[in-house]
Amino acid sequence: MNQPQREPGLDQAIYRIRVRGQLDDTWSQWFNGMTIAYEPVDNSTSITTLTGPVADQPKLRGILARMWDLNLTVLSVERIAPGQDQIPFDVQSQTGGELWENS
Amino acid sequence: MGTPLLKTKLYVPPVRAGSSTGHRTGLVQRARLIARLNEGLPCKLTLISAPAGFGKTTLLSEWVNAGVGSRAGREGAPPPTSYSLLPTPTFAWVSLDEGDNDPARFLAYVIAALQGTGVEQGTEGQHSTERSRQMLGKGLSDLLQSPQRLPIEEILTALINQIGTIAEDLVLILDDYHLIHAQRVHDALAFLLEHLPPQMHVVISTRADPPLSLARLRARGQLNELRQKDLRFTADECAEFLNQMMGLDLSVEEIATLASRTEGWIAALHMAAMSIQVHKHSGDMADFIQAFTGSDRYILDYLIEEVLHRQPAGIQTFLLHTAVLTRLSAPLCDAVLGQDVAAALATAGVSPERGQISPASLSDRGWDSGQAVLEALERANLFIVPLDNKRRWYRYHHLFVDLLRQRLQQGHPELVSILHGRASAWYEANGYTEEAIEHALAAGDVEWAADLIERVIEATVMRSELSTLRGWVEALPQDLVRTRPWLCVFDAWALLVTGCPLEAAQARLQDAARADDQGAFAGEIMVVRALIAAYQRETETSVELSSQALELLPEDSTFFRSFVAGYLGLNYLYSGDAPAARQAFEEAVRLGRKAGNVMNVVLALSHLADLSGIEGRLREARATYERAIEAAVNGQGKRLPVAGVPLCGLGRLVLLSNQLEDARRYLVQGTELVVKWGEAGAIGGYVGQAHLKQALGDTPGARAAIAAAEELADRFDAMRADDEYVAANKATLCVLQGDLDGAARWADGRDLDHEVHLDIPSVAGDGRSVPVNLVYEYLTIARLRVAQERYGEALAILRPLRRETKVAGWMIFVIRALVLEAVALDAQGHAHQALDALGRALSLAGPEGYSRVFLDQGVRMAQLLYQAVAQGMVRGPAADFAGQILAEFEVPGSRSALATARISGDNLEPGTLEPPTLIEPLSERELEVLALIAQGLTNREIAQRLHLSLSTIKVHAYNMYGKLDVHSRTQAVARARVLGLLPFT
Repeated sequence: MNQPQREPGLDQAIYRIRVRGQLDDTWSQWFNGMTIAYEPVDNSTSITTLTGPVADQPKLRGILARMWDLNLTVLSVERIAPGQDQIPFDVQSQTGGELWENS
Repeated sequence: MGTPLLKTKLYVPPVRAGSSTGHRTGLVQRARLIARLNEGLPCKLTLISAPAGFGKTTLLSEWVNAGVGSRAGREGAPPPTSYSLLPTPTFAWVSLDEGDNDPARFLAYVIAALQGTGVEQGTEGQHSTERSRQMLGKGLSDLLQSPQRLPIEEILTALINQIGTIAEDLVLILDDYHLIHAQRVHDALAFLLEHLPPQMHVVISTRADPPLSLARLRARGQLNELRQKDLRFTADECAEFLNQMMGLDLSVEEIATLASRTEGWIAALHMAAMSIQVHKHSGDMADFIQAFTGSDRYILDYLIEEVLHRQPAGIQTFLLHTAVLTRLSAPLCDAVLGQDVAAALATAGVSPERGQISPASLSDRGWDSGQAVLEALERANLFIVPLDNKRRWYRYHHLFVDLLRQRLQQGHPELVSILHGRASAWYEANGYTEEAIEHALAAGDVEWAADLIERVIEATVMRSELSTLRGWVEALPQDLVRTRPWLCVFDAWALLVTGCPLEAAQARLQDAARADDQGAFAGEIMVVRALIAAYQRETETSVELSSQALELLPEDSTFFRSFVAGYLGLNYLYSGDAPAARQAFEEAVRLGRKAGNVMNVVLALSHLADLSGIEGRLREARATYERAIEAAVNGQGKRLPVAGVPLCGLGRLVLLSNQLEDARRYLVQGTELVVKWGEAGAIGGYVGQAHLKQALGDTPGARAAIAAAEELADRFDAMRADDEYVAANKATLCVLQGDLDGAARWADGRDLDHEVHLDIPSVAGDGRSVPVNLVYEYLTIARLRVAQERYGEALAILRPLRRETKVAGWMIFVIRALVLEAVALDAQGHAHQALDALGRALSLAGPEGYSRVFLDQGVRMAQLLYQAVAQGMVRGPAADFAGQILAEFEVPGSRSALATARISGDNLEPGTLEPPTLIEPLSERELEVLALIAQGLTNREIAQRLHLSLSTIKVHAYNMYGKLDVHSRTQAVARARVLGLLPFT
C-alpha cells in the first residue's frame, strides 16, 4: 500500500550501522541515502559508519541484505533515535520486502 | 497466452573448459568439497550457505558435470575430474529468481527440472530412467492450471509418490534460494523434505540460511552443511588459482598477502587476478599487489575500478548500461544500448591486453554487435555466465552486476529508468509480457505497466499465479489501480482465493465498481460478489448474484461465464432445483466448449450424468459419463486427470446395477487419475470404492477406503458439504457392517430426525425439492432405524421422503425408500403391504437394472423377493427382475451380502434371521439333483451323469420343487441358497 511520503528524519527512526573496512561514500544511494563516514582504527584497519533514517524494519532488513550481498562484515546496528509513531514491536514484523527502487 | 517455462532456469551452468588466457582449465578443482557433497548424499538436505562470490554455483555445476561426465564415459576424452562419483545420481537443477516466490511457478519449475527438462539427451542405457523421469509430475501440470486455491500438498504428495517409483537416485538442486521469501514456498519445501523419498536428496545454495527446521535436521544427522569457512579458498587453492589458472607466477609471500587481503573470497581473488594480469603486462605488478594489499578500502571498490577502467570506453558503457537486465541476449542488449552506444563501441580502440576486451577477441561481426561483445566477455571471463548452450542468453555474476548497478546509479541516475524502459519495450515487442511488466515497473512507467498487466491478467489467473498478480498490483500506485476496473476485479478475485481478509476483497471490488462508471464490467464484478457471498455461506444470495452475472456478462467473457455456470449448477443441485441445475450445467458445457476450457466441459458433463443417475436414467447417465471421459483429453489426445471425475461417477453408477468388476475398474482408474488432479473429486472415488469393497464383503477394505475419503474431505476444510457427504456414506456402511452404534453416533450428531414430519422444503410452487445431500442423509437414518427395529420411525421418514423425491423425479431415491419400506413393513407383520412396496420398487428398478439396492438388504430381501415371486405378487418384467436379483445373490461377490448379514445378524435383523427350515427335508438324491441344476445342467444331462432315467430325474425335481415351494429351476436354486442348502459358489 502507498503511504504518504514522510519527511526523512522527522518521524523515522535513525539507525547507525558499522561495517568493517572502508566503504566509498559513492555507496550512499545504494544504502537508502545513508551518510557514509569512516575512521581508522589502527594502521591497517578502519571502520565505516552508515547513519540515516530508516522507514521501517523491512527497509532495515533490505539495507542489511545489501550489505551481506556485498560480503561486508556488519559490526553493529543501533537505533540512535526512535521514530515518533513507533508501532509495538510484535505488530510490525512480516510486512514483506520492499522493491529495490533502482534494481 | 501461457508463459513458457524459461529453460535457462533449468540449465546447469557449464564448467569453464578453458579461458582466453590459455590455461589448462579455468577452474580450481575442489575435490575436498566434492567429496563432502558426495558424502552428504544419504542425508536429506545439503545446505551451501555463504555470501555471493564464494563459488557456490560453480562448485555445484562442477559436481553435476563431473557426475554427467563420468556417467557418459566418453571414449578418448580424459576423465573430467580426478575423482569419480559413486554412485552417480541424476541431477535436477533450478536457478531460482524472484518470480519463484509464487508457489505455482516454483512447483512448475521444480517439476520440470525433475522431469529432466534442462538436461541434454542422455546416453544409451539412460533411456529407461529418462522415460521414468519424464513421467514424473505427469498430470501435475494440469493441477497447476486450477484457478482455485493451489493444492500444494496434494501436488507434492503425488510427486513424492511418483519419485518413489523411480529406481535412480535423484538430486534436486535449488540455486539462489535466498531469493525466496514467500512463506508458502518455504512451507512447500519443508513438506517435501519431511516426506522425502529415500532415493532423493535436496541441495540448497543460498546467501542466507532458509527458515527450515535446520536444527532438527542437524540433530537427526539429516543435514550436510557447507559454509563460508568451507568454501573460501585455502592457501593451496589460492596458489593454484593465481599461478596455474591465471598464469601469474606469484611468489609464496605474494600469494599469502593476497589470500589474507581477500580472506579466500573467490570473487575478490578473481578480480584481483584480472588486475594483476594487466599490471604484469605493464611491468608494475609488484607495486599493484603492494598497494592493493596495503589498502583497507572496500575490496570490490578497489578492484571494480581496476577492472572497469582497463576496458575500452564502449565496453564500459556496455557493461554499465546492460547491468539493468537480469538476463542478457544480443538483441536485447542492442535495444537497451540504443544507437549512440553502438557508435561508441564502433570507434573504441584498445590494446590487446589480458583481462581486457580487444578487437582481436571479437568476431568479424564487429563492435556494433551485442552478440560479439557478449561472446568476448565470456572469453575474457568477465563475470558473465551463459544460461544455455547456444550462446543466446547470459547473465552477469550477481556480485558483479550489483557493482555495475551501483556505479550506473552513481554516475548516471537519469539513465536508469530510460534503460529499463527500453528493456520493457523490447520484451513487449518480443512477446515476453511478464518481463516487460517487471522492467516497466522498474522504469517507473506505471501506466504502461498497468496496460501490460491487464493484457495478461486473465491468463495469469488461469495459471493460478495469483501471488505474481498480487505482487504486480502491490507494486503499482494504489490510486492508479483504483482507476482500472479490470485490474480491480481480478485483484479482488486473487485476494479472495489466496485467503486474504474478506474485507480487502470487498474493498477492492468497491474500487472496481467505482472505476467502472460505464458499467462495462458489471458482470465480472457481480461474479466476484457471488463468490464473496459463497465464502460467507450466503448460498441464496450467491445464486441470485450468479444468475444476474450471467445476464450481464458479455458472450466472450468465457472465463467468468463458464465459472459461473458450473458454480450455479452445483448450487441448484444442492438446493434441490434439478431442472435449473441441468440447464446451468448444459450452459457450462456449451461455454466451456466455446472457450476451449476442457476442465469445465468435463466437470459439467459429469454433473449432468450424476443428475441423470439420480433421476433413474441409468443408460443416459452412462452415455453422458462416457462423453465426459472422451472430452477429457488434451490437444495430443492424452487423457487428462480430470477424466477421473466422470470415471469415478461411472464406477458408482455401474455399482448400482451390481457390475462389480466394471465398477472396480472404473473406480480404481478414476481415483488414480483424480488424485493427480487433486480436487475434492477423489472423495467420490474413495466413497465408491468403500461401497464396492463392502459389496465384495471386504469390511476392512471398505473401512480403509472411507477413512481415505474422510481424510481428504477434512483437508478441503473450506467446504462443509464434502464432510457431510462422507459422514453419511460412512454411516450407511456402518449399518451394513452391523456397527449400529457407529451409525447411531452419526445420526445423533446430525440431529436430523427428531421432527418426524421432516423439515423438508415443500415441492409446491417453486419447483424445489429436498436437497440431494439431505435426501441421502434421511435415507441413511431410515436404514439405521430399520436395523434398530425402530420400524415406525423408519416409515415416518421414508413415506414423506418417497413422495417428495417422486415429485422431484429422483427415482433412485424413490426405489431406495420403497425397498426400505418393504423391509420395515414386513418386519411389522404387514406382509401384503411389504410385498406391494417391493413390487413397486422392482417395477421402477427393473428397466434400468438397479439390483444393488436390493442386494444390500441381504437375506431378508432374498426371502421377500422369493415370496413376492412365489406368491404371484409380482409378475411379468418385475418378476423376471426379481429372479435376476435372486440369481445375483449367487454371484461370488454378492454372497458377502448374505454372509455379512449372517455374521452381524443379531444386530441387523434379529428374530427373523434364522434361515427358515423346510418342513420336509430334501433327500440325498434330491440334493444331488439340486446341485447339478445349480451347475446349469439340463435334466437329460443330469440323468446321464447320475445314470438314471430322465423320468426319474423329473420325479426327483418335482418332489424337490414341492418341498422348496417353488415352480422353476432358478427359483429352486435361489431358495436353496437362502436356506443354506447350496453353497455360494
